[in-house]
Amino acid sequence: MSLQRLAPWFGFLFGLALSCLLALFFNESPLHVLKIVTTSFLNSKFDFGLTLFYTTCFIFSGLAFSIPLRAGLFHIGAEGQLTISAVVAAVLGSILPTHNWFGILIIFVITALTGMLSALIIALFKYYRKAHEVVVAIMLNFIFAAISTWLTINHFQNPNSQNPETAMIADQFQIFKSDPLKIYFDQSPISLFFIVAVAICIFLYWLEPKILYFQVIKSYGANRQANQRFGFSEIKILATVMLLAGFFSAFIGLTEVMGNTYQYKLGFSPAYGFLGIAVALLARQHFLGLIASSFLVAILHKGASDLDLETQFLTRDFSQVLQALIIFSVAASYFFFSRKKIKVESEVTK
Amino acid sequence: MTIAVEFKNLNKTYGAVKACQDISFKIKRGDIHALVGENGAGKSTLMNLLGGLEQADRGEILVHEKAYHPTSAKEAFACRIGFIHQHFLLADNLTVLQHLILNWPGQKLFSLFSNSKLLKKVETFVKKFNWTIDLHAKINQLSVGEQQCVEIIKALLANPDIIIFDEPTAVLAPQEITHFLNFLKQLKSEGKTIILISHKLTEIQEVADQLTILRHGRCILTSETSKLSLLEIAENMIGQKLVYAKDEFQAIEKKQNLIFIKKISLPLRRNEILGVAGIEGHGQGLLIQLILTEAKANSVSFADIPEDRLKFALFEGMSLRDHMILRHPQLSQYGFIRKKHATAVTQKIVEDWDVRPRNIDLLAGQFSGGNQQKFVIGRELFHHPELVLAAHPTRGVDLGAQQMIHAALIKQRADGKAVVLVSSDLDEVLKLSDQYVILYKLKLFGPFKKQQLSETEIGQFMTGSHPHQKKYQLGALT
Repeated sequence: MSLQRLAPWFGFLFGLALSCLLALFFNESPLHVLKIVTTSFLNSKFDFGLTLFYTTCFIFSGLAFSIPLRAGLFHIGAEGQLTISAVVAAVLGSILPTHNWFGILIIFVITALTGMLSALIIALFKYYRKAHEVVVAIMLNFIFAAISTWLTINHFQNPNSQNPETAMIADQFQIFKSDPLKIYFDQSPISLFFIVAVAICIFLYWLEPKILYFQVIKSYGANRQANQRFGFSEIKILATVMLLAGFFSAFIGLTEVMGNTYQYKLGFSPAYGFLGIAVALLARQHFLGLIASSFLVAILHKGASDLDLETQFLTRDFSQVLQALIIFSVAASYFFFSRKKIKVESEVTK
Repeated sequence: MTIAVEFKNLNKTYGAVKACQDISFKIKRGDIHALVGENGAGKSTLMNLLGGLEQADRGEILVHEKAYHPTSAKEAFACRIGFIHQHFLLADNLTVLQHLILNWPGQKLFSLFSNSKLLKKVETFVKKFNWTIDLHAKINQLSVGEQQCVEIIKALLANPDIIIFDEPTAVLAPQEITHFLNFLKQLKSEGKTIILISHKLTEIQEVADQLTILRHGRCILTSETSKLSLLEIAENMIGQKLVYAKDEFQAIEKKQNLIFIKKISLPLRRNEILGVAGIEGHGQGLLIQLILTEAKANSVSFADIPEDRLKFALFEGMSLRDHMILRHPQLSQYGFIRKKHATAVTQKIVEDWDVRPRNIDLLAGQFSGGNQQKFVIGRELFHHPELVLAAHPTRGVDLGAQQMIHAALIKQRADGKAVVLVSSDLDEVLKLSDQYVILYKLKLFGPFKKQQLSETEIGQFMTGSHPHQKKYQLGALT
């Protein structure tokens, strides 16, 4: 494996080391911080289950980022899509009159459609208005957050709570409460969605080299003009990648609502959508790599959240600083290791 | 005479590919020194070593008899070595002047900058070499020839002593080429040392004092140009006797129309090569678009050999097999790739067209320009299309490949295909086409039969100064 392929991992380690050193400013021992960050997921079965729950969400958000990136789109809209999907799932779960498998199917299908359609907006803006996907996604993130808050507080507020959250979904829909994984991990947030996420990654890894359209998407990302000259439809490519991205974003909402809290809680996502960018970049968009990098980022996320409890001076906010430093280092490593690659004309064959 | 550059046992390898092997030769100060060789012979690699873009594995370069180990292009500039690349390194959305400001050697970050000094200097160049160039035009509004001028001015601003030109005439019209060769002589008369990489041997014979022939990464010989005949140069490049393919250019009388393009009242006929001559930037791109649209509308299968392979025909990060799969739907079934089939046909194209190295899993960007072009043509002709649209098919490719491509076009014609050949190389158009049209400012003139016009007249049509220009107008592209 070339040095360049390992670049993001160097970045990761560098970021981790840097943030541990930062702890010195707070009179904390860097080694102590490092120990908490890297080992707190092993404290108990529950902790491990929680880490796997994070892994699940990161896998989905990593997928939601890495598929559009194949077409050259920098998709940062997963956060908005997962929020609106979670609200839709929670609302459907609490108002649907049919409490059977058909009802569950409806929740899954409509939630997935919500995610997909909300992501499709980005593709439409990009194609018809030539708007940059990042700008549209940022706007939509705010809009979806506002809609979700409004729906939750004004229409579907949990009558039994003063926190901004929707009512619980019907008991019959809480099927993942008794799934074997949850039971094994002492009722931690993990659910069978973890298996689904891993299976999707493996399936996509197997499928990607076999499907023509994946190559079409990749070629669009590699050279848009040549792709057009080959006669491929631009809107079809944009719509496909965004619909897929929205589909996976919606699964984060489902993982939370159907498999963890059984309701929508305002601000449930610790920026899964954005951390998914780091996950995907770490894995270099490799579908199997996503599983590993998601697990790694999940460990870190779990460890960083525990800093508040385990150290004297560090607060929860520090965990965000830590994560930001790591994402920054990973991104910087791409630049650092590829700047020498600027080539005039490829000379390998000469 | 003193020596400007000396290469001593220079070696450079990329993985298993030996790009330069023990290359040693000297370049005299004040000479025009040509570097010739087939694609992949190691010319560009050698110049990249001199230009500081790559570092040698072994060996030494001496510049003005002093050891020289550049680690970046910047260091090469500092040693007064200028490099004008085959593919221009210009930012499309900047103006000429902004570009030159960026490259102005006296420029420091945050220093207050006065345009006047730069303008003065640029104007002296422009005047000296008799160029017309709008300094406030954006790069993407300039013709290729003008873009080259910008590249040259960029390099000259640093007042280089040694100037490397990589395939400078590949993109120029005939008049521009003559102009350019005079310009080289002018630079020489000012005492500059010029290294010229070119595939056009006649040009080399015209201007170069010395030449070095490279083959498969080795230096074959260095000699005075006047001592070698064209044939000797060509044979040394290829390493074997040059056998000209028999021109199977037989007159075919009855020709059927394949498509008729109403807008410009131009029929594309089977068994015919229609040449399109004209200075670049006069509507070639639009004409190609128009023909492609018509072909699609009439469901005529076509080969599209585009004017700029890197922009329109290749995905640098994808393998040759992936290109075949993308271009030819029959290599997939129900959306699934037929990998074995795709591998077999790609391998065959690579072998038939002598694309080197013969590894279909290598990325397109890892092949040299000529090999990329051979692959593109092989790929496009794979499905035996009715219409072959070839834009500058031999741009920047070596003699052997040129012959191969010309032979392929002639064979397409014999097989009953309609061929459109767009080229800024007038010789190519005149040699290959049954009849030709001339483009000038988005208007088409013609069609002309082979010997109908003298070269001067063609030149007049290309520049819009022919007295009977209007009489021959076919239609406009706008």
